[in-house]
Amino acid sequence: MIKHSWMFKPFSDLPIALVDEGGDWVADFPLELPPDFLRGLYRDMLAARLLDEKFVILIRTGKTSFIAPHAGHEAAQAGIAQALQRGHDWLFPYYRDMGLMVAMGVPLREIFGQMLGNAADPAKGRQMPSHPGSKALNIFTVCSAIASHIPPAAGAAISMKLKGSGQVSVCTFGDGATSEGDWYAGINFAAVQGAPAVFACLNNRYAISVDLSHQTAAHRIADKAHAFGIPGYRVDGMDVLGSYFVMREVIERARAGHGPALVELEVYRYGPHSSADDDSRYRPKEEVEAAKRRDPIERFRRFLEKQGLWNLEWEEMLRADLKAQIDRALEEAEAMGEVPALAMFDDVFAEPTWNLREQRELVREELR
Amino acid sequence: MPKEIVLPELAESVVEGEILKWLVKEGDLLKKDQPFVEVMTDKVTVELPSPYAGVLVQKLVNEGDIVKVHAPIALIAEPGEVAGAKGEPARAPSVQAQEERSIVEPGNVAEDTGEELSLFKPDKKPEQVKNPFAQTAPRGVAVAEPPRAATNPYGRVIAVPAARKLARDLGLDIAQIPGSGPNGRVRVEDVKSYAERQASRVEGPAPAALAPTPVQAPAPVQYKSPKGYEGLEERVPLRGLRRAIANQMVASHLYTVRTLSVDEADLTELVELRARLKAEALGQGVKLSYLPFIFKAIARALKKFPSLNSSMDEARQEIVLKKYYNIGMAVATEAGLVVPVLKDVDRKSVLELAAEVNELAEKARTGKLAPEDMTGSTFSVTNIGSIGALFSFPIINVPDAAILGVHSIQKRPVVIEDEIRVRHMMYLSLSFDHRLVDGAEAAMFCKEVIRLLQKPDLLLLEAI
Amino acid sequence: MPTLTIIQAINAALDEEMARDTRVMVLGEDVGKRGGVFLATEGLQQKYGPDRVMDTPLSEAAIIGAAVGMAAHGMRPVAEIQFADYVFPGFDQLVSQAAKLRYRSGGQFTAPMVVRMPTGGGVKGGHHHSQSPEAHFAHTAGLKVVVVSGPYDTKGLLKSAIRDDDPVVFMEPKRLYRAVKEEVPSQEYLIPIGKAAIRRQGHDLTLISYGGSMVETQKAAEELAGVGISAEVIDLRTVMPWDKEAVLASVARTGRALVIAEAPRMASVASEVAATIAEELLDQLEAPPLRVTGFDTPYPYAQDKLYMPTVTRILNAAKRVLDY
Repeated sequence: MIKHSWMFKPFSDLPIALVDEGGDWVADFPLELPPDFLRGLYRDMLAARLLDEKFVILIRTGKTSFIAPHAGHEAAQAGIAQALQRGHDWLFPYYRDMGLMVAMGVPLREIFGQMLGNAADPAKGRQMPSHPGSKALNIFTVCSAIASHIPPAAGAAISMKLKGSGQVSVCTFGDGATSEGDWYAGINFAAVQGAPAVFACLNNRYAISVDLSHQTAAHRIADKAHAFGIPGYRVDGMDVLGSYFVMREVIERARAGHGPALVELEVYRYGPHSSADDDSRYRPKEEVEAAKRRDPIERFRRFLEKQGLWNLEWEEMLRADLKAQIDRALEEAEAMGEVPALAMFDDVFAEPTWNLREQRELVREELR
Repeated sequence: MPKEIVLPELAESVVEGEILKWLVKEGDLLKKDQPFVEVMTDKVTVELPSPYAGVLVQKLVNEGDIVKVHAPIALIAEPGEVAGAKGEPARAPSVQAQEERSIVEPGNVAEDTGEELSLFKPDKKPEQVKNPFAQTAPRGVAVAEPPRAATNPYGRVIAVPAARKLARDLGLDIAQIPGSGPNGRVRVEDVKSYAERQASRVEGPAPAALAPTPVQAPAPVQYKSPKGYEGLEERVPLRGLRRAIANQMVASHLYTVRTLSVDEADLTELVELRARLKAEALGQGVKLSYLPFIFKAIARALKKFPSLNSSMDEARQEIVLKKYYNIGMAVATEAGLVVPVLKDVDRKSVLELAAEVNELAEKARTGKLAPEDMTGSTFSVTNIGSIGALFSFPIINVPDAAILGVHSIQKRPVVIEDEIRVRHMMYLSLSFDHRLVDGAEAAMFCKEVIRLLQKPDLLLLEAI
Repeated sequence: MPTLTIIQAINAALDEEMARDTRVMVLGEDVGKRGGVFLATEGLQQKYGPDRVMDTPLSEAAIIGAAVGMAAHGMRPVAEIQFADYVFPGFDQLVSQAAKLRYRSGGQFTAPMVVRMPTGGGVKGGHHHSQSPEAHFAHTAGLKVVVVSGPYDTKGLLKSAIRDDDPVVFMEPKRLYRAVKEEVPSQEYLIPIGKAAIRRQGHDLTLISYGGSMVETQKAAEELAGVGISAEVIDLRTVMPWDKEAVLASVARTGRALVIAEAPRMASVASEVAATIAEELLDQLEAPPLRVTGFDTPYPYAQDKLYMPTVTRILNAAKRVLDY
């Protein structure tokens, strides 16, 4: 286990993977994780996948206006969620992280509330779907502007360092974000300050339609860490244990005062960029099918089976339980009803200014 | 003349500098760009290069002085002009001395009182202010006042919003208020003085004795449909000619002291004369009615009684007596009442007038009157006769002083020399503004018109 | 009572707030060792250490964006942008993150932070050291915008901004940094955000201004007094939310208004104030509310002083509304 020395070398040629495609443990250290934890990882991944499928139903039945499919990202998402100290560390997610939200323990009802933009949304229906956040779990509300959350993640990390709070700021983003100036600005500042921050790129090789070769001439995204003077790790993001162990190491390394790290988790996006995208215009079906054959859930199932931790009966029970929870949560969320119209004017400031009061009055009159 | 070297702006926001050290002595020969003094500001410390070549005649500031940007610090002269160059020293005032003026009372410590807290120092290079108020005549004095509010090409009155509001509140028609602003714009002051004049006018025979309080005009009648009949009403927007008529009528009603004088004329001779001339006129292509004769008679009578051919200039408080005789002729059209104007009636023959009456009436009916056809009347006539009312009380066509209503010519029994005769009789109703015209004058004017109409031969004598 | 410049008043406000509240920290380029290029933070790093007075990489996005994260995490950061002209690389952080954090999270997260920046012209800085970009911020829901004109206000308003629970853009006219001195109490006082100050009372017309243009506005009022015209002078101090009540109360009395500011005219704060006066007081006005502003050109170098509203330009506008 991780003790005083770091297990993983940065800038490896091959992506770090601890479980191979056949489901065998291939790491050079013994696996010492309790069965419940391993089953929990599987459960988180499966819940994320089922949620993604449910979202497709939501959009096709007109209950929501936008979805950002995350199928194919589940291993990285489940690994990240278990690697940080949930509710203590801070997470700065991006819009393809609904699977990560489930694994972080955000209540399904809140997730559906956000997707519906109704009263079940803790953010009061302020943003388009797939933009979650939770103060209770220190999950910084997602902002659409790509990479704009990187400098705030750095700032929070610097604040953690100044306060000595023992927290780590973990920030996720896609491969496209790494081309933004704010991405560089934020990581650079965190690195200069040696702040406890971990920057995790879920590299699915497409920013909507633009593939990685048009995004960067760098050999790999992890290499960009050289520019900041911090370690960069390339990880097989379809391997949940690889994702978990590397993320856990860099998070604990940051917590111990050794500064930020950049982790590139190689994943694949099964679905289109969003419900408004047609991915057949820019990538061949065969490529998608080939990626699905490396499915992270299947791989981990094979692993669990070989460890004697999986059987069909458990799988069916688990699926039935998760589906029931999802259906119930959606019903509960729907039952919460609309956000009041005049709530539109709340939360611009702590106290509404006169212009907002006037405008709220105008709408109140219109609705009378 | 020696040149001054001033302390330059050494960096953004720097307003002053401390003279740290002189690098040359008075009398030293300086090359251009040679450092001659060391200056420290709160941003930088620099050696100043001399902007000129020459002899340093005089240091105007001492080491340790704090000097304003742009203040002179040294005098430098051409080598040849050194002798006697050292004039009276113009020392830069120290900042400390100047600052005492810029310090003001800070106000309450605990809370902001909103008093004058900031006092600004002069600019480094004070702006040469050109105060426009110093260059022109005192404001608010208009060169000339038009008789009414100026309008834009669409007929919208040009007025300050606050003046419109005040006029509305006082129940005044903004269009009737002369504007004193640029382009004839109606200002608040114009409305106030107009209202005061209105008040003094309606308050009786001795306006000078009364306080000039503005009249509180009655609020316009608020129309409400009677319950149950709403569906049986048609609503027509008050627009165009109808609104112009309404405005003109209200103005006449509110702003003249209308008085009626009624009389009658025996037109038997005129009837005969016209009958004789009718065919002749027709031969010349002119349909001859009685109106041209009436116009001629009026023009003649107006010359005798000039007050009936006058107007009131409210703004200037003057009566305008007109030496021209333009007679408005009220014509009913489908669209409403219009008043085309026959110009210079006194200088035209009956036949010319007849032709013009027909032409204007035709234009009126076909809606082809040009604005100039309808302006500039000095007196008006309304012919009620064609419709047949016995007689009526005409509304003065402001700013005219009077209007004459003429009625139908009917055979009536009349007593002449104790005999009842059948004569062609016509009622006349003269409506006049009693401010401009006295009652006796009005009656005499009527008598003169009647005299001329009863003896139409006289009109021939007055033809030109 | 000490007499301070605006720069010294900023320093005093930061010092007092940092001493009062350990969450308050300062970050920006050159704010630490150098004490800021205008010396607003001089001596603070020596007093409070490099963690609380933090020199940052040369990145406005990093400075403002990190301040958002710090604020969300419980600090009270005061970020310095060296010139308002250089806020634009950090503009997205102000607009997308700082301004919208409270709203987009439904009030779960907030960004109580101050972004200080020297603003305005008159220092021969050309267009990248002279602009007045307050309209961008006033136009962005979720930001408060303060523009000061004197040392006394600066101290009281900066302290209020630091204590405000929402992001405040705090703009300091750099040409006044050392040009205005005032007695500033060393004791604690606050000036509320959103309250204007009546600088001069009058009854013939109202001159509404803020920031650097207050200098010319005050002078214009003096010139007017010299010809017997009594001008009321209002210093808005906060441009979002600007003090509508004070402005309308004055203009309702005088019936005439000029709005004076050196920012470009198009879609400006001055336009907003003038439009509101026209909307709310139309039939109490004796003349249209006029704007006297900078021009819709980039800020020129050679015509540095001509660009800003001059006293003459203000007087000409005053004549127009008085003769209307």
